[in-house]
Amino acid sequence: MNSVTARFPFPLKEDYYRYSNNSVLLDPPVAIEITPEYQEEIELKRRLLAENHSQFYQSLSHTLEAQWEVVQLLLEQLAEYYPEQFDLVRKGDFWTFTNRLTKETERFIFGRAADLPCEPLDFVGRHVQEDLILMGHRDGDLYLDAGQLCFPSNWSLAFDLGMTFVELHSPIPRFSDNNLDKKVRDFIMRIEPGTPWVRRNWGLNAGRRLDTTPGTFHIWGQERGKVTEENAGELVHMRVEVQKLFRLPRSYFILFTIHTHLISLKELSQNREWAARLLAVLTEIPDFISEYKGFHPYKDSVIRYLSRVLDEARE
Amino acid sequence: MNVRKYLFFFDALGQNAARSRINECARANTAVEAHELTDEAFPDRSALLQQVRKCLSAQKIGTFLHVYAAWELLQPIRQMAAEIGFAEKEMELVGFGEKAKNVFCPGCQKMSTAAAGDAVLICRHCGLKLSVSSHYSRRLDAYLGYAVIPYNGKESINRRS
Repeated sequence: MNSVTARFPFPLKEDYYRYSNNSVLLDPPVAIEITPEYQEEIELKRRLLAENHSQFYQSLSHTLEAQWEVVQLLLEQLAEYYPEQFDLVRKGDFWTFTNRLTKETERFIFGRAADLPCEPLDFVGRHVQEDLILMGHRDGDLYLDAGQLCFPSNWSLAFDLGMTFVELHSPIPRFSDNNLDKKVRDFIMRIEPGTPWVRRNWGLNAGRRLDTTPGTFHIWGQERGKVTEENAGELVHMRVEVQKLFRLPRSYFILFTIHTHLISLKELSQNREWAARLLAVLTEIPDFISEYKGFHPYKDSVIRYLSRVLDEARE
Repeated sequence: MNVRKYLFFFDALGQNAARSRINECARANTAVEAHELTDEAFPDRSALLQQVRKCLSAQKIGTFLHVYAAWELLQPIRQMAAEIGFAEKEMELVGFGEKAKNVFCPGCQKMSTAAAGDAVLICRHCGLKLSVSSHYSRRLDAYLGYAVIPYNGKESINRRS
């Protein structure tokens, strides 16, 4: 088993998959994770932001205070949990943050926007692999108020900005059955400071690509037509989003961090239990989910590939 | 404003609502003039709009305009009335049926317009072929367009809803 397979956050716990509120308490309560792909992903993030900023970064003006809270939370956690790579020195409001991986040192007065090259959320997002979403909690509802979203699973931050939680999720078929959308929203609205939660979401991608925005679907979507049983092992990837939810104590915003992991089916199949589990889920999964997740056109090729790999392992 | 006349235009879709409104106005002891814009009377859309323009241009100060019609007819009449000099507060405009939609292109992040009933359109800024989804933004007053791409000889739409 190689290192990618050893640390991949395989999400499926049973041979059956439907939408549910599958969050569990996050322990330890860390919003970020540094993986060996750090350099590559940070470079990609910064390139995307430079090329098409509004596609990947959006904010409403009332989010500034919450953005600074995110800066504080993430820089403190980077320094605490990854002290060899990051360092934070605070003298009153004067902060010095050192990122040894990118060889950068940032000095600023905490809370003074003019000291940063961009908005605080945009700034801190360029030092972590996670996408960062800020949701405002007011009038008994949650609103998508800001985000740095470089690696979306086919949704548009520029379009969705300002929507309520329920509006945001309305394209997901049957997510509102039995009021699941409102139950998940109500669950998030009850999250308390100091008690973060985590869940894993998953899909399949044709091609190895993190930045699957609807704005470039006409490019990456073409790969879906190329999948066969023979090339599925290399071409098709399982995509897992580790999603964490934090309550920010001062602004009362919700911080939602998304760390996206990709693994080819060939790598994934080195773990036979995972291959068998994924095969069972894909065999059972209803069309409305496989269509929404975008792998319906090549699902049968993946099923044949996984069956063959498992058969060969038994021989 | 001192209303001297209520001027009505309505089509087949708006006629029921228009007629009950006309009855209300008639009780106010003010002159009422009503025009039915039916496909039978005006098989040609431009002749119909010409007739409406003629009628609107002939109005004197104190005419209050009511239009009860399909959105696709309402929009050009609204534009025409504004050109002729009707203020927003001198008009009651009630649209029926499907409305033309603003469609957001996720590629160039600009807006195009889809006529009522159009499921697919070409982004007028970047040329991307878009399918009009039901995903709506109140902030932008627009529907999200999803890219349509050729796939195995057919067309594939990014996400169906």
